[in-house]
Amino acid sequence: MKTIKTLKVAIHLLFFGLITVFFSQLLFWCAVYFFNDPLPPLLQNFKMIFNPVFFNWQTLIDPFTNALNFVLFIVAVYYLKKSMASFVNSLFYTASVIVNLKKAGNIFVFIGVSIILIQFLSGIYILNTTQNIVKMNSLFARSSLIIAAFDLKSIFLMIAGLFLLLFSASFMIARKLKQENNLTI
Amino acid sequence: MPIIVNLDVMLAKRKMRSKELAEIMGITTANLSILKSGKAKAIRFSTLEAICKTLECQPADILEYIDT
Repeated sequence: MKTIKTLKVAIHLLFFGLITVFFSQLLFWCAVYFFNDPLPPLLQNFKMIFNPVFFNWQTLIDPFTNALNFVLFIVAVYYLKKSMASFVNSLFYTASVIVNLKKAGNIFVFIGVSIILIQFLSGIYILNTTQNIVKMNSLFARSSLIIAAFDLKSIFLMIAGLFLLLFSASFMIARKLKQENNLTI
Repeated sequence: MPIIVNLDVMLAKRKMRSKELAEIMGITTANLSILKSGKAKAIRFSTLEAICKTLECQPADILEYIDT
């Protein structure tokens, strides 16, 4: 019970922390884009990102995917937060817990896979653009590209997602067994 | 499920009420209702024994298999 309460507090802190970061980021970029003039000169330079020279899909796909993954991560943590309310009341086998864990797991796996894919693709893009400038050892460059794409964070996220999916499937089986047990007279 | 519970038939034959049977057997009326309505997934031997003892019948009088 103590573990569940600790986990609940941790997830709540994570969720509200992420929400705070998200809204402060949103506020910052809105201020940079719409109210650039009153800002300090250091912050004014951030508007360069919205310059049409940089505004193409190759340069924006990485930050855009990161932002999307960040929002998806908040959604996944929200689903975990919803599950924790049932866990605290010792309601492990409710339909809402099973569904929420499955959703959170799917999102974690999606984020992990998309980070690896995007890093791999952006790595290829960088390799192709720099190869003309600097003559790189092709085999070394390609192998380092693959190693760089599979970073620990995304692999950990994928494993966590798969575990959540496993928990969801286990709880579904447990729910069926519990129902069967309750209907044994 | 092809297993039919004929508990209501036996109760009618013995002219006994469900509440009465539940009290003698020591189970709740809600559980007996689940058994009577055929919603039960399984029945314990102890429950079957108690029913047979109270209604003075055989398990076959209560449970019936119908091939669907």
